Amino acid sequence: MFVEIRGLSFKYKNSKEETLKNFNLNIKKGETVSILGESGSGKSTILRLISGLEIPNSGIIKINNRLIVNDNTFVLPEKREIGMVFQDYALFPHMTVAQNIKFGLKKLSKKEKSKRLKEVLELVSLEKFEERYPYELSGGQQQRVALARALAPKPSLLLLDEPFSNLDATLQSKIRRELKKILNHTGITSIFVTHDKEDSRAIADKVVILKDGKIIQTGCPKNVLDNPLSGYVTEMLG
Amino acid sequence: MKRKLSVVSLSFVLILLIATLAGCSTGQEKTANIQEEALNSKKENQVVNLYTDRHYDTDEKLYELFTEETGIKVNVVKGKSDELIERLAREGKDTEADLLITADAGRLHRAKTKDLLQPVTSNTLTNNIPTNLRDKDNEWFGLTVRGRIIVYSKDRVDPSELSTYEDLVNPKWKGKILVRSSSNIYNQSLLASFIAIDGEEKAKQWAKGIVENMARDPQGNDRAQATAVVAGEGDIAIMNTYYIGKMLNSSNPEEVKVAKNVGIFFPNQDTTGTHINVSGVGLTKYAKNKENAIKFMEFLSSPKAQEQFAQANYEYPANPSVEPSDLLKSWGEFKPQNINLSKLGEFNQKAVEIFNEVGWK
Amino acid sequence: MLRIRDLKFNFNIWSVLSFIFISLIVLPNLNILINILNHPNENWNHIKEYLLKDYIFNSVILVIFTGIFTILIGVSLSWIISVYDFPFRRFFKWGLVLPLAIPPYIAAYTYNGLLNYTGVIQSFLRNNFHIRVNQKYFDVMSAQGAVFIFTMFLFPYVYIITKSFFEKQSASLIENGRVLGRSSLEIFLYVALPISRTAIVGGVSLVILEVLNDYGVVKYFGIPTFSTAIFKTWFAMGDIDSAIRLSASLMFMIFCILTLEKFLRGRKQFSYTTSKVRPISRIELKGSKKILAFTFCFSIFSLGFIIPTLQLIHWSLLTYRKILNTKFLTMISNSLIIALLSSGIIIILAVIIANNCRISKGPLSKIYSKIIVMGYSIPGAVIAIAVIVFFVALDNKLYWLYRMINDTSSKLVLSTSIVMLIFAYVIRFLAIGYNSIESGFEKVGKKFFEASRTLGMNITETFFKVDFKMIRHAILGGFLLVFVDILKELPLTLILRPFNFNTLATKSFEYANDEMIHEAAVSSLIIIIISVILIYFFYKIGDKEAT
Repeated sequence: MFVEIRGLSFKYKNSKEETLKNFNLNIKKGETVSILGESGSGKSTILRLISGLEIPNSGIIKINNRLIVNDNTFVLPEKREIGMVFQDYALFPHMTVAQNIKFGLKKLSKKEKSKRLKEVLELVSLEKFEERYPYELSGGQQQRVALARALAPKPSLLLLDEPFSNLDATLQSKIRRELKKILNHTGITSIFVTHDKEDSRAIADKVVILKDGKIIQTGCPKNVLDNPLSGYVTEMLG
Repeated sequence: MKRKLSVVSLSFVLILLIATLAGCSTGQEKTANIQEEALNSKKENQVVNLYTDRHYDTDEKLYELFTEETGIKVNVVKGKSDELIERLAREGKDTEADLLITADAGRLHRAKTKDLLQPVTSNTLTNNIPTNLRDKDNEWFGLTVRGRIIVYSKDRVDPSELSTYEDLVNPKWKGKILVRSSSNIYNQSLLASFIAIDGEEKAKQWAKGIVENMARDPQGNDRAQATAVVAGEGDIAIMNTYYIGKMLNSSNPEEVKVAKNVGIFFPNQDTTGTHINVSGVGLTKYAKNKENAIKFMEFLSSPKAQEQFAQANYEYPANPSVEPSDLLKSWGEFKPQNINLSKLGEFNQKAVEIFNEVGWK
Repeated sequence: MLRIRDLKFNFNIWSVLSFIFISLIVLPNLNILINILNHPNENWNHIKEYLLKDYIFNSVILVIFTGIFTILIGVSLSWIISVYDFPFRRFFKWGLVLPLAIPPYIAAYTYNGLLNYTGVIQSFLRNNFHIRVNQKYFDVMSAQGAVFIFTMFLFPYVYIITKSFFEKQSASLIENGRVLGRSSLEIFLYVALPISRTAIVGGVSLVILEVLNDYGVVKYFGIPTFSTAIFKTWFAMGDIDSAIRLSASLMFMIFCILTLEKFLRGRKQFSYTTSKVRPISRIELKGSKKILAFTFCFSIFSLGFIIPTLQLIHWSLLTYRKILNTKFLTMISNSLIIALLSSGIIIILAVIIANNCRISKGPLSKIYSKIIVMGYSIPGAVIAIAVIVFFVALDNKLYWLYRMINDTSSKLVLSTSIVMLIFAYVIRFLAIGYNSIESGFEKVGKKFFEASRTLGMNITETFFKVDFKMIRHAILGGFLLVFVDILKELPLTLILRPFNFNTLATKSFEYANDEMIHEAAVSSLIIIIISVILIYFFYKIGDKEAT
């Protein structure tokens, strides 16, 4: 298994209940997994735990057979080689598109940096926007920059937090297709979090349905979305 | 644009760094200076270190004169007397201060009771300063004298109506007396002197009577009381003599007018005498430059220095061989309270408690 | 509960440094505050009976009214300046910060000097028209007068913090309000005020702490307050135990206020709702509204700056020949160097601790900010004594070292240098710098930080590449506030300064304390001029950044 999560539990300091309860998940290399749930179900928390932005109360996470969290281990986020696309993209406002993308490439030489920048800009079809500042871009363009920035350092795993929530509804199906294409093209293992089953259906190889921090159902999108096991899933899927 | 900004922020950080370095070196220089001075003092006896709550510019000329005559440099920390005493106490036996000058005998007495001063044997000092103006163990010596007197409106008050401090509680002065807050040391020492002379009970009655006769809640400093008399807020005010001198020499012509429009009255001339207080100097217990310090004390009590030291603040010189300034002479001679000024310190706390109890704000 | 992985998460250079700095701040004060545990002495009953009730009452009155008025003036000004356009707006934007350059006690002397019987106004009326006015109408030396002084010269704390919040606040909020058909007033009341609550509370708590800690104004005006009680007990009654007990009660009160504030604020934290921040497009005012906005700003500016400054200039002209000499140059450079150094150090510490607090999930960091604010609430004289005790002990410990360097060294080296003074400034003013930096971080939020971490940068790299650039305006703002505060600081400078070390503020004090307010004008004026220049450049840089 490429990603192995076992017994992951987490509680925010201020809340009484555990946000995540004994969460288990296995992901194969190259798979795209979608975590589907309503807001407050704990789905974004999983991404924060995998990326190292939060510490779990218990549980183990392994990526590519490398232990990144257990009771005695904690690999700092910057050492995990995991790419993340944030819900509102978090593009550095004081840097151009090029500077944003090159940000994660600190180990490369100047020449290699420019080369990689070209590659990822081509991948997201934003070749001409190098010198723009984030506020000069549309929402869809910003998202693609964020994606390019996350992919630039060639992470082993890509996390996407609600990648479509800030976008125009009419554009969504087009952008879904684009994202699917990009993910396929790079062959990267990825996890994305969403509240919209259509996102899952369009992009994911595997869907995990989450409610109150617990997995309710998991499987390939076709099976899960068309044959919901419980009343809740049916209701949620509308 | 962006590049320019990062240049700005970078240079800002740089400036900070340089400033830090420069500052550190000045800090070290300063310490080095003091070390050097300490070194010199051991070798050549060159400094005397002074904690003082007198801040007159003319004092510095005196220090310079002293340095000229003796080669001893005078280092100064100016502050408020209470805080200087506290600093001295906390520094303990390591203190660098050799002398403490305060503008109130009560404070000197407190320094003495806190065991911060030491006796000085010097014929010059005991000859120059009368017994009642110095500590009985010669731990401190008064240098300049001021009276706490009554000033009155020349328009509305006939000086023949005035007699004593005690008379001020007479109902005829109801709503007419102006005086500053009891948190001020001059009032505390005034009341302390009454405790020493008449006892606690009488002093308390007096304070209570004054509160009842006040023209307004205490506010402002001594000058403000004289101004309020002329402005018609009250008829008489209790204040220190030297403030009249300062007002007469004020850069504001209106203040000069005020000072000219009030009369000066020395109370209790037929009885216990007018309340006086001193600014004075004491040798610290752990003085590192004791000889220099005593030399400086003697210098300050000498006729030459006395004249200037007293005149700086329109005060009476403590050394009886020195004549007061013409202005002070024009007010005539007066009979001072005949108590040892240590009493002001001894009864200071009692005085504060009485003020609190009678509600003198 | 302490687990190794938590340690690995929280242990870094930032947390280590923060811990060291905070310990250094706590240590000396602990030494003093431990006195509270002593059994109360007989004085305590006397204090309780005669001093506490009235004095607390006066303090509470001053705090409440100053609080209300500074909020009214500070928030309304910052709203007008941020949202509307009218003549001289660009000038008022920074001009309205200037009252901060005038120390309240100097303002108190100035206003009294202006209004009292010998002042310009009354003597003009008297000498030209033979009008003698009732003193009551010209008396600032009262509780109302103190509230006026505090309000006029402290409101910029509220103004600065709320203004920068309004400006940085995503314009869409306000524009949404407009599109929804709300009037400007409604937007102000229902949108702007609620979202800026944190900023307002932050500003007004600085004001409250200044008022509670003030001794100069209330002493001059003869208003007994809590701080009067502390000083009276300590100095007049010579009872340090009771004085510290009083200070501790004051700190407890402040602690309650701060906790209440946190409680009121709840868990709501407002940061950029999106990463896209656009400046507000201002509405140009027309006709009577234009005049009204201008008049309002101008009146406040006159009362808080022009009038007292003119009076000080007048007095300076009367006295400068007598007192201006070359020593003033030394004093100016002393003032500048010590203020520059101390504010630099304070800001660096504030950045380190604030950054650690926002990153760390450990329990310690929560306490840090409380401790820092406490430092601001301890009366200056108490800090001073704590610092002296600490440094004398330190010097004793380091004596062997001094001897090694110079075998005739005296024992007190650090405590007769400006190091001790700077240390005390850090305790006193860290809160001001910290507040500014913290609100800068709060505005930016954590997501840029997190994005940077997932892109392979560690905390320190992230700080220099991302955070620093985004909060540099807050850094500069904090630096400026601290600098101006130190320039005019008194009790600490007076007590802790080395031999022959004079600053502009101590010179002003010496004259003012001798009731020579005209002579004090020159040095006060120089303090004001330096502050004005700094504030001007700060806003010039801010303006450039905005465009």
